[in-house]
Amino acid sequence: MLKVKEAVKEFNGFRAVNRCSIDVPANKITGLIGPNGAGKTTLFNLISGGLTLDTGEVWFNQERIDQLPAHKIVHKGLYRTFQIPRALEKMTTIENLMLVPANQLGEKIWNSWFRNKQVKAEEQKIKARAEEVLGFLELTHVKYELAGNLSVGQKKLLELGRALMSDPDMILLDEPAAGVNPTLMKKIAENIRKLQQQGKTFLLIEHNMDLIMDICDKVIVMNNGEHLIEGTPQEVRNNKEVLEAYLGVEEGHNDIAG
Amino acid sequence: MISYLIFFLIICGIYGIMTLGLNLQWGYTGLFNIGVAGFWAVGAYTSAILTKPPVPEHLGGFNLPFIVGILAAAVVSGIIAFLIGIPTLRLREDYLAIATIGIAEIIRLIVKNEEWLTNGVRGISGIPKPFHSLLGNAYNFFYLILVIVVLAIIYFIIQRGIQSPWGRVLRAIREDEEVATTAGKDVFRYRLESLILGAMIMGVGGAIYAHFTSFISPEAFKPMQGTFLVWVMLIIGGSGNSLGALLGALITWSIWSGTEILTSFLPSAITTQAAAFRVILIGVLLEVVLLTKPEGLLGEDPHVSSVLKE
Ligand SMILES: Nc1ncnc2c1ncn2[C@@H]1O[C@H](COP(=O)(O)OP(=O)(O)OP(=O)(O)O)[C@@H](O)[C@H]1O
Ligand SMILES: [Mg+2]
Repeated sequence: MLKVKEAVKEFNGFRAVNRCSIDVPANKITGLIGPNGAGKTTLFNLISGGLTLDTGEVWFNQERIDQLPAHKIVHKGLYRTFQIPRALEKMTTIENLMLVPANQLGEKIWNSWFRNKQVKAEEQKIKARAEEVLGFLELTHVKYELAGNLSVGQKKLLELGRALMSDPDMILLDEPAAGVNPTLMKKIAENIRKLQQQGKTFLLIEHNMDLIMDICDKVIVMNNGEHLIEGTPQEVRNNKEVLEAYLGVEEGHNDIAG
Repeated sequence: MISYLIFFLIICGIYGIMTLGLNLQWGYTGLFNIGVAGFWAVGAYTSAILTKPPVPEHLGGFNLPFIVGILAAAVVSGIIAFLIGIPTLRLREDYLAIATIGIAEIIRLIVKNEEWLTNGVRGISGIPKPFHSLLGNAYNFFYLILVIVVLAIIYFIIQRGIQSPWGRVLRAIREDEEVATTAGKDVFRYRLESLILGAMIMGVGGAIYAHFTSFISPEAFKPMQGTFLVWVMLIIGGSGNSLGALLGALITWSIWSGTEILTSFLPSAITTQAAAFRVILIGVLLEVVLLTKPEGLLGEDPHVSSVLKE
């Protein structure tokens, strides 16, 4: 479904992503792991159009997307979240979600003047959908709070909430469970799987190996900007190279060893 | 006294139009337009040239109705905003600031030097006052009503837009354009729309100003009164709040014109110092508001979307 071919990205001569190729199958949950600084988030930015490739290609649904502006990539059905949550601080939590749905009638200003009734009717629907998502994320109590006043964990959930609002074919999640309490994390994992069963595709960056082992169908490991290996969660977990990559970067980082 | 009050409110209303336009651009979209005076001048001259009877000194004398002048002022200002926006709005925001202040100065120089077009420093006089012969003494009262009607229309246009998803995207862009892009919004398109609509509103304000004073010259469009004061009004009143923008215009203009009256009693030897003193006073006012109410007197309404106001 998503193919990255020989992607390269340098920052001032430093290769954050180095000839990295990945292939993400449709209707599956694929994990993307690797030590800190491996280039995972940078790869997300290259896929979503937030950064432009130095060389290489990105294909989504048999269509080349690496030349498209970022907002058009979203319209193709590919949504990404941010590792460091980015809230629209001076807007309420619910509006942070209501922003997302595509092609809203009221996004054309003349419709707000001349077709106000229809705009309002559509707004009610979007609002109801946002309330549903807030309920799921257990954020209902901060619905009318300015997003700037939320805790980091809540902002993280809001980040996920925006992805849920967009109803895309594929979601790129950058550490959705970091800083979220374990009960909620379980719930998020369940929901990711439920969405996958409904036909959605996920690419998931995560340091929490329990979550990766739990929900991923396939795991890709990156190291030093390169694609290291890939396989089932079990295969990856028991792979010596992967262990070395993690230990090489961070002594005692034993998440991977479980 | 009453007649002074009416005159005062008309000027406040004209400034209110400017602050509403700037509030759309800066308060809601985060567009740093520091060339308000340029759009003001374009609106004023456009309408003046189109509606005046023919004269030999400069272009114009098309004798068109007042309403056509107003609409043309909006259109020409909008076109200029479009031309400024196309190259700058994809870049970092400082480019827009530089472009707007630059264009405003260029417009002032054109107005000053292109005599065939604008009569240069001598300015354009005899700009028609609509229905003047009919109304005679009650004229300013009529004009105040007209200003209020125009303000109400502009207020409606902006509020409807801001309370709808369109406005939500603008505010999202102001907060974090990358999030807006990630949500699938074409940031450039929205910025351009906001810049153009705001400039059109300023153009209308300029036209309303020209038909009220009946005389315009390059002097009237200096950055101090044409841009700086509008910014002060918006910041004092409350950026991101249309009512705040209007309140800011009222309060700031009260102080500005009030001190003008006071300083006129001073001996002529110190009038230049007094003029500088007024600017300082406005600066102090700005400082006090920023320190005590950084959001302005009326801050942004977090529930601006109409659907959230059940
Ligand atoms: N905009 C940038 N400018 C310069 N260097 C960058 C930039 N973005 C990332 N890097 C560098 O590229 C490398 C890869 O960063 P990236 O954020 O992609 O890693 P990551 O795999 O997501 O790590 P983590 O697990 O810590 O999130 C790092 O060394 C980082 O410092
Ligand atoms: Mg990362």
